[in-house]
Amino acid sequence: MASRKKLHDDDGHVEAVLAQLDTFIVGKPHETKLALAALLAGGHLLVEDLPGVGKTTLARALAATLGLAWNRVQFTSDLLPADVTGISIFDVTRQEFRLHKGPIFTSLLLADEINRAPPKTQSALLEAMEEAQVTIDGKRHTLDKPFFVVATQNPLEQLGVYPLPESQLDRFICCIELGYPHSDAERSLLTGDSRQQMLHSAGSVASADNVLFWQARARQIFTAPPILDYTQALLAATRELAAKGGCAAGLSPRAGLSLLAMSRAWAMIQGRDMVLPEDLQAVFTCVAAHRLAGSLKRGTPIARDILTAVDMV
Amino acid sequence: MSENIDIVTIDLAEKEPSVLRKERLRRDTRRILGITVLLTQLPLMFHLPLWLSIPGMFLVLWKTVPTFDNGRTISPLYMTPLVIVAALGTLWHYGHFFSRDPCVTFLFLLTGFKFSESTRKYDGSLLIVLCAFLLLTQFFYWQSMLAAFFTLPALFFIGLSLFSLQRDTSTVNTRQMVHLTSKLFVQAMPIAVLLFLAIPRLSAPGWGDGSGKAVTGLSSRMSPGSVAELSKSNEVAFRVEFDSYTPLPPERYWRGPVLNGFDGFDWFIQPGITTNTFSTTSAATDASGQLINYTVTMEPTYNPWLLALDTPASMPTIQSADGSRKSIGRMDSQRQLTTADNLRRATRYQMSSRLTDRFRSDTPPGADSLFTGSTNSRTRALAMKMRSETDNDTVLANRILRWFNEENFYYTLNPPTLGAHSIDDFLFSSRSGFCEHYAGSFVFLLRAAGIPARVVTGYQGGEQNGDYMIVRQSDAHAWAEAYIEGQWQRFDPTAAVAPQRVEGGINAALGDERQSLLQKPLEWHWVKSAGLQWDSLNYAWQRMVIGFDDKSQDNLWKKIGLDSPSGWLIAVLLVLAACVWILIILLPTSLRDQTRVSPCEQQWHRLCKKFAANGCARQSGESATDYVERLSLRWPQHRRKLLRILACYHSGLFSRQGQQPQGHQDSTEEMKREISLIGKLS
Repeated sequence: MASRKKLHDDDGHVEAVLAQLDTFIVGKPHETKLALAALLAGGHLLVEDLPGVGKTTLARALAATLGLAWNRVQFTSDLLPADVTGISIFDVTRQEFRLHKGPIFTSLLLADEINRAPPKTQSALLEAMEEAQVTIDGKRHTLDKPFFVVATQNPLEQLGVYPLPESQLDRFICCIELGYPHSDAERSLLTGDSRQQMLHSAGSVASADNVLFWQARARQIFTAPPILDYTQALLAATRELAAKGGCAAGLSPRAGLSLLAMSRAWAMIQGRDMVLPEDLQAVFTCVAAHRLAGSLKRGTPIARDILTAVDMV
Repeated sequence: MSENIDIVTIDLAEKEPSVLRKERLRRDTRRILGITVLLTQLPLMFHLPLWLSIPGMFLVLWKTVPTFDNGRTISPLYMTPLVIVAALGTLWHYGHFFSRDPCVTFLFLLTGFKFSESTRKYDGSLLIVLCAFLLLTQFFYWQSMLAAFFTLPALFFIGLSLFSLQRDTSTVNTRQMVHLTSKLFVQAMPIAVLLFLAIPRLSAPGWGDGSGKAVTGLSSRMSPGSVAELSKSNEVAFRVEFDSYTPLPPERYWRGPVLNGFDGFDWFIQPGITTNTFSTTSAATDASGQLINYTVTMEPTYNPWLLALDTPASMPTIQSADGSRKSIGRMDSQRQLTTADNLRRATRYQMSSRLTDRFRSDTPPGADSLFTGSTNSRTRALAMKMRSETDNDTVLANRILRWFNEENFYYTLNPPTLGAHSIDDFLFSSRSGFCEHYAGSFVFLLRAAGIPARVVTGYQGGEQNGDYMIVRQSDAHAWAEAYIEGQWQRFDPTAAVAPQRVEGGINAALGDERQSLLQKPLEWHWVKSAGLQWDSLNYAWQRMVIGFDDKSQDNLWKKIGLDSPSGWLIAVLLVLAACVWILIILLPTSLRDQTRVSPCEQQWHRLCKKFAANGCARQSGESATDYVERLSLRWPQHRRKLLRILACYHSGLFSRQGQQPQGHQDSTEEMKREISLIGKLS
C-alpha cells in the first residue's frame, strides 16, 4: 500500500509535467503523453510529420519541462558522423589529443530531420541509442543518464530524404505524428505568445533524477500473464500478416519488448500499478506502425486492423 | 467416510510437535472444534433426555461463543464433580449403566466436557475422534435420510477441524480452508460410495435394539381413544407395491392385531390363541375373492405384527440371498401374522391375499369370543331385544348396523370421556365417537346377542404415490369380525355411521374437524405434493441405502461377474479403484489448467453475454474500458455497477494481487455480486 501511495504522489508530479507540456503543444494531449511515455520507457522517440507542426517544439518542451540538458543537431545531407559524436583534436600547446565532445553528449538530443542525413551519419546514432555510449577513436565514452533521442523526420514523399533503414527504425521505441492542430488549438497558437519565448521563460517541473526515478518505477509496473498472452497474440498476428504480404515485416521480439515497456510507462502515467490491455492498445499503433511498413502513413491503418482483429480474451 | 477420518486423526496425534507453544490450540481452531462438537451433538439431542443433553451442549456453547469465552478452561476442581454428576444423572435416568442409551448419553456429556477443557492440539485430535464416533451413534436411533443429512455439516466441520489443527501459520485463511475442505469432500465422495457398496456387512446388526422406544402404531390393547390418537399422526406406517391389481379404496382393509379379549373396558390380544398356527394349505379352500400379490415395506414398529391386505392367503416371505423364498413369520388361527422378533428395522416382505370379507375357520371359536363381562346392562338389554326379533345371525348383524345408521350417531376424533359403563354411555348418551367406539360396541352387541365376534385393528385406506401406496398412521382403523355360518365375516360399523370414512379416507369423514386437528397446510395442494415427493424419496432411501444388505451386495457382485469374492479380493479391488480415482483427479490437472478460463474471465464473459443478448455485444478488439463506457451510455442506471465490475475485472486479471488465488477469488466474487445486481435488462 505504501508503495502505491508513493506512486500516486508521483502521478501528481507526472501530471504536472504533462500539464506544462500541454501548454506548449496545444490540443495534442495523447501525443504529448506518448512522447513522455517513450521517454519514461527508456526509449527513443521518432516524430514524423510535415515541417512546422511543432515537432521541434515538442522536443524542446520535453527538455525544458523535465529540466534536462539538450542539444540540437540539424541533420543535413552533408552532415558527418563526427559532427554528431565528437572528434579528437590535437592540442598543439599540450602536445596531446583532446576530445572535442559532439552534441550527443547531453541528456536529450534533438535530431532534427534525421532522414535528410546520409545513412552513414544516421547509423552513427545507432550505438548511442542502443547502448548509451559512443566510441571515438577506439575509446568508449559513456553518455549521460538519462539519454533520450527525439528524432524528427519528414514524410518520405518529400524530396531529398534518405529513408531510415529498418534496423534503425526498430531502435525507436515509437513513432508519432502530430498532425495539424484543430481549429481552437490553432487559434490559440496564432493569438498566443510565441512558443520560442514561452520555452525560454518556462521553468522546469522535474529534474533528471525525477526522470530516472520514473523510469525505474515504470519498469516495476506489473505485467500479468494475460497481458503477455495478448502481446504475443499481437506479435503473432503481425507476422502472419507479413507472411501473407500485408505488410513489410512482422514485429521483432525487440518490438515486443518495446511494446511492453511503452505499455508500462503508459500505465504509470495513467496512475496504475498494472498494465491493462487498454494500455497496450493505446500504444500499439505508435509502436508498431513504423516498424510494419516503414512509415506511419502506411503502417497506422495496418496496426489498427490488427488491433481490431486480435481480440483480448 | 468417517472411517477415513478416524485413520487420519490417529496419524495426526502421533505427529504432535514437541514445542510447547506449538502444542497449544489456536483460538480459531478451538472455535471450529466447538462448532464441530455442537453439530455432532445436535442430532442426538432428539434422542437423549433433554435435561441431560441441554447442559451437555450448553458448556460447549459457552466456550464457543466469543462473547462468553475467556479463553481459559474449566478448572479440574469443577470438572471432577461435573463428571460425577453427569454419571449419576445418567444412572438415575436410566436405572442402569451398561446398555446402549446410557452409554451414548454419557459419551455425549463427556465429549462436551472434554471440549471445555481442551487447550492442546492433542486434545483437539482426541475430540475429533470422539466426534466421529458420537456422530455414528445417532444411527442407533434413526436411519432416515434426514439423519444422513444431519451428519453432513458435522462431517464437514470434522474435516475443517482437522485442517485447522494442521495449519500452524496464518497464511491459510478461513475461506481457503473451507474451499479446500469442500474440494477434499467432493473428491472423497466416490470413494465413500465405493466403500458403502463393497464393505461386507453384517446380515443383522445387533445394535438396532429399540428397547423402551415409543413408536406410534397399533398396540396390543385398544381402549376408547387409542386409535383416535393414532389418527392425528401423519407418520408412515408402511408402504405397499402391488404386482398387478390395485384394490379400490373400500377394499383396502389392512388386517393387523386381532383383539379377542375384553375386560369390560379395553379390547386386547388374547394370549392363548396366538399359539395355534394356521397352515396356508387350508387357505386354498377359501377360493372366493381375487388373489392379489404385493410387497409390503413396514416401518420399524418394535412389535411382532405384520400387516396384510384383507384375508391373507400366504405366509409373508422375503427373498434370501440364494434366490429362494424364506418365510419370516407365521399365521395363527385368527389369520393374524406375526414374526418371531419384533420389527426393529424396516422390513420388506411379499404377501398374497384374497380380496374377500369372509373366510372359513375350521376351529369354531371358544367361549372367549362371547365374553361380555357383567357391565353395560342397557346394551345387553338392547341386544336381547334385537335377538328376539330374529333367529338369523346375518339379519341380526345387519339390523345392528342399520340401527347405527338410523340413530343419531356422530363420527368425531374428539369424543367425550366415557364412564365405567363405557358402551352404555356411548350407545345411549354421547353417541359421538371414533371407529374404535363403533367397532367395540358392535362386537359387544353381537356377543351379547350370542354371536361370536372380535375386534380387528389395522389400517383402512392408503394413498397412491407413483408406483406404490403409502399407508399412514392416520389411516388406523378398527372394525369387527363375526363368526356366522362357519365363516368369519367382516363388519365395519364405522362405515354404517360415516360411509365416507371407508370411501374417501379419514379426511373426508371428518371434514372441518380434521383441519383443526392436523396441520392445516396439508390441505394445500403444493404442500401435499411436496410431501408425497419427500415420501417417495424416503422410500427410495429405505430401499436403496438402508435396505442395501448382504443380499443386495451379493447380487451386485454377481452382476459384475464375481461370485461372492473373498475379503482379500474386495480389499485389493477397493485399493485399485481408489488408485484409479486418485489418478483421475491428479492427471488432468495440468492439462486442464492450460485451457481453463480463469473465474474472473468467466464472469466477464457472463457480463458480455448478458449485454450481447440485449443487442450490445462487445466488438472484436474493443477494450473492456471502451465497452463498459459504451454500455453505460445506453444503460446509465447501471453505470456505477459496471464501473465496479470493470475495476474488479482489471484487478482480478491484471494486478499483482489478482495473481494470488485469494485476490482473484475476491474479485470474482464481487463481479458475480455486481453482475447479479444488474438484474434483468430492459
